[in-house]
Amino acid sequence: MKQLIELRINGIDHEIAVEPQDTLLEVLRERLGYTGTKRACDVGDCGTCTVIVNGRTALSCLMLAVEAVGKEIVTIEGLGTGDKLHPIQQAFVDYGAIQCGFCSPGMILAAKSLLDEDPSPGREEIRKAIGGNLCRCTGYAKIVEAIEAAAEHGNK
Amino acid sequence: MRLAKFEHLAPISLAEVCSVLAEHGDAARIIAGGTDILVQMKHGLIEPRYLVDIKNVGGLGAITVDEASLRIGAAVTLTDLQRSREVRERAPLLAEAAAAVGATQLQNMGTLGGNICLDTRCWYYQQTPSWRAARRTCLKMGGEVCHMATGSERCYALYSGDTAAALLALGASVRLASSRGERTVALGDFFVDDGRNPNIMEPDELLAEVIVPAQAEGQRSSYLKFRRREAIDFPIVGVAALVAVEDGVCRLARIAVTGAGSAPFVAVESQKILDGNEITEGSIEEAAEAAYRQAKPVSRMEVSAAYRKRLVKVLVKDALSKLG
Repeated sequence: MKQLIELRINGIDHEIAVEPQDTLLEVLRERLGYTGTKRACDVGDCGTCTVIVNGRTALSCLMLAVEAVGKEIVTIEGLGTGDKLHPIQQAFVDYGAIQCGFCSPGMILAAKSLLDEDPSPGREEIRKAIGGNLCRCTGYAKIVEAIEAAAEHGNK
Repeated sequence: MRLAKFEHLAPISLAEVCSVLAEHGDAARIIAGGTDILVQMKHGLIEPRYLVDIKNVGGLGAITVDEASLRIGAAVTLTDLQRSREVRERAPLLAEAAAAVGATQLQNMGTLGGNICLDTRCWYYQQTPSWRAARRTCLKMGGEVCHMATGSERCYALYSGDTAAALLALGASVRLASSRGERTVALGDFFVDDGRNPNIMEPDELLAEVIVPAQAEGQRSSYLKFRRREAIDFPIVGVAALVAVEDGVCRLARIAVTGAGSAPFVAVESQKILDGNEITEGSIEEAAEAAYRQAKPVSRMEVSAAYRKRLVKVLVKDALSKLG
């Protein structure tokens, strides 16, 4: 039985009818058009579905949409604008940290969540923060460098 | 993988949770972080009609200090657990184990109660319905065969929770609540070496709280987790050790192992070898060998059972060398 809920995504309130078994990932992608959040493994093992919930990263494939009510959700669409990239996104571009781009939304959000809490993380903190995000292309080195650079430039 | 239909209930009191569980029994399951149960449900392994969300239940998200112990609500997330000053100061072994679980997102969502109640796993079980339909139904699914240990009459699915090892070494207990009352059980009595029913909880019970004796002055600890990758993976083997040495003599040795059976276990023989004796290369080797003998893993997930057993010895040795 559908229930009417309100989800706050990137600062915008969306009123939407959902069933209890609808995951946040399904609702984001299929109902609300936030396709920047990706579905890959669907069981919490890859991180491509990463979103930020009340400041902390979470796996939207393992969250029910109804569990997201009353929370501040940030997806990759919430970073930067069409004309100007968020500093972390720009660092990823500048440092060659993007190849196919599939892991990038989750990686960038993991980086944002880290830098919002710790503006000058060490390598180990960065690696731990992105530990839940798999990349099959880059080998992670440039992703870590990009995040270090973003931190260094004082941009979050 | 779409989830089957269910009703989502969000009680705000422990009494409400108990009453719902009493009413629906096996048709209701608890959801906290959802990182275990939703995966089971996506694989079609269980299809509860009700998910009872405990994230808003008063008291389950609290950490309180109580004389010489910590009382930790079952819904405390692993991130909050490892960041809690009380836990870091009084039970650093638990903070260390919580920080080793999965990855950042899984720690943000996952809870202590959920990590303790982690379902056992097996390559032949954690699969979709179409995959499993190509084989005879296994013991854990209610069938008659074990694909991991052919001919076995019991299920050997593996228990791989990290915090359980730390909690066993610390001598923790759990408070289980139901409409029939409450019971506090030592963690050593909570787990059962059976892949099908790995703990003593009844369908109408909730694990509400974990009581952890504080580490005393001079008690040093370490949680060593061996896994393929540095994140996401369960432990292939995890060893928690708590040691107190005074004037070269071991006053206390508590060693617990996870990932090497259907239940985490306390290395009782290893502890006997060390308690009251000097910690030397020789006694460490003996204690590690005793843990090796006690471990009886059957699973050949990721590594052979023999390799897994050898890992127990290596990690016990490493932990004791570090702390001795």
